[in-house]
Amino acid sequence: MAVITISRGSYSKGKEVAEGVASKLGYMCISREVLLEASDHFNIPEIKLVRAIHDAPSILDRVTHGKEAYIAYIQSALLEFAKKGEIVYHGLAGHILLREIPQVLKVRIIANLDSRVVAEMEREKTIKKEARSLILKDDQERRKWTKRLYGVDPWDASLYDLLICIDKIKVHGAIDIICQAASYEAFKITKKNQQQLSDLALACQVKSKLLDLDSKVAVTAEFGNVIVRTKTDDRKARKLEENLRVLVKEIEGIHNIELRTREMRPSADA
Amino acid sequence: MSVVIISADSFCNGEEVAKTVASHLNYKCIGREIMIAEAAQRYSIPKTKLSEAMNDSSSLLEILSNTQTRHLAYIQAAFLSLLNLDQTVFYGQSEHLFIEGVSHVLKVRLLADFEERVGLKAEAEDISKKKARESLLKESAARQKRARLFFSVDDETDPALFDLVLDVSQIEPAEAAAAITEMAKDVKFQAITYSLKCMKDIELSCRVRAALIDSYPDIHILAKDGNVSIRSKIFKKKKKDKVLAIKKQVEDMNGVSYMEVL
Repeated sequence: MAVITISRGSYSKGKEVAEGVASKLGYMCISREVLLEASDHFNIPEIKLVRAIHDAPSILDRVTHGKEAYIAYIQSALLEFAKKGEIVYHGLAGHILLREIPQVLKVRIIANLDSRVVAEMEREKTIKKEARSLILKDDQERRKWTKRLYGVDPWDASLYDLLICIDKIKVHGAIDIICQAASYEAFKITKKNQQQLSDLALACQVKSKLLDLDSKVAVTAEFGNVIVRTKTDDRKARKLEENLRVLVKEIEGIHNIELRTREMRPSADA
Repeated sequence: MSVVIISADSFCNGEEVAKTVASHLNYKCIGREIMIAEAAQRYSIPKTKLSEAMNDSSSLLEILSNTQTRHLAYIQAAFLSLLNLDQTVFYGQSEHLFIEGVSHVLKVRLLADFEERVGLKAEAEDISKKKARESLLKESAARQKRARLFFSVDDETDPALFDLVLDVSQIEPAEAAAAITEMAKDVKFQAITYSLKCMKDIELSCRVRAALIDSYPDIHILAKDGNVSIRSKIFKKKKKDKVLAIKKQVEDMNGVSYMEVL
């Protein structure tokens, strides 16, 4: 049983590859389902979630931290799927949203610029120069939002376990190699990893419920024991504490929850 | 028949993976040392000087004197001649930049977690982690600088330059080797008449360039089916004498059937 994320560049046939992998392994292939789940669970219009995850943050977003909240909702929904295992996720930012879990097989499919330009020319019925500029602009936009939100460059190969250039390897070759990699020991979701996934899912769920009160709140969970860290003032901290008491009843799987104020944020938090 | 080029960062098990792939495929396995030795023998340059060209970044003096350009041209010619021989798995770091546009060449990059590599280097060389980290960063910066200067590539580790990139922090060397082997057996990486011809053309271009680069550092060579066209800015002055000298040097070279100097 494995969890696979497939990050895809434009015109990389990544969706086709993801569907092929899911069909070969008998896994669930998801993308939009995660957004629908987040939209339903947190009562946010899907379009807002799509924009949060696709466009670079505006100045207003930087002040209100609206995007961070939406992304936390999406991460929470994705983790709910991931903790069940046997999924291929080919939506945006899967490799980042699940980066704390090394057992998740993170794949990126790319195509070289020349073949993407040809595909864009065909789709947009445009000339080569314009197609090239459109693709480069889209690439830049994707890089911008990833760097802004997560401090990483999606072009950085070290974010992935496997990176495939589709031009020569083609769709069926990519499917074979991903399925082969999914069987490797390193990507098997064991009971221990499953606990890690459940804890991260729980932390994300708690965080997503607290973001309205404190946009910089950090949450970790271990075996259902949740720690909420905040640097906010005492008044807001009291409000957070009141909310935590409600959350214990509202969210399944919390054994214990505690608030720590003015503590350094740990590196691996939700 | 296919050719596999494995480009691995240091401490990424590149040699181990390459040897396993070669053994699975029953191919010849060649590393950088053999390539350097071949170039040293062909062009009578000490191995240490050639190794420096592959490992260190150029000083201003070397850039002005074109030393590294010349040495890299010799190494590239030797590399191509070795690949041209037979079914080969090559392992190194930047050699994927030496060849482009040949369909039966499978280019693979192996990478590993940086901190893991720092730990391995510190242990292997009995130095502090700080020193190991600095050394790896310096090595990477030198590679990037060389790629920009000599191959007009912004980042030699750009995934778009490879067919496959594998993170060996997660994937075991044996598993990486199995994946590469399967890929190399795929029909898309089998040599066809056209791809073999492309390889021969590139090999001839590199060999002619290496023969002329001492006198003409900016020389551009294009070879096609044994027809070689040569361009250089230096030809603007005393062109006739230079063309004669080049003809003398090149026309008897193996594989050259026709030559023109533009």
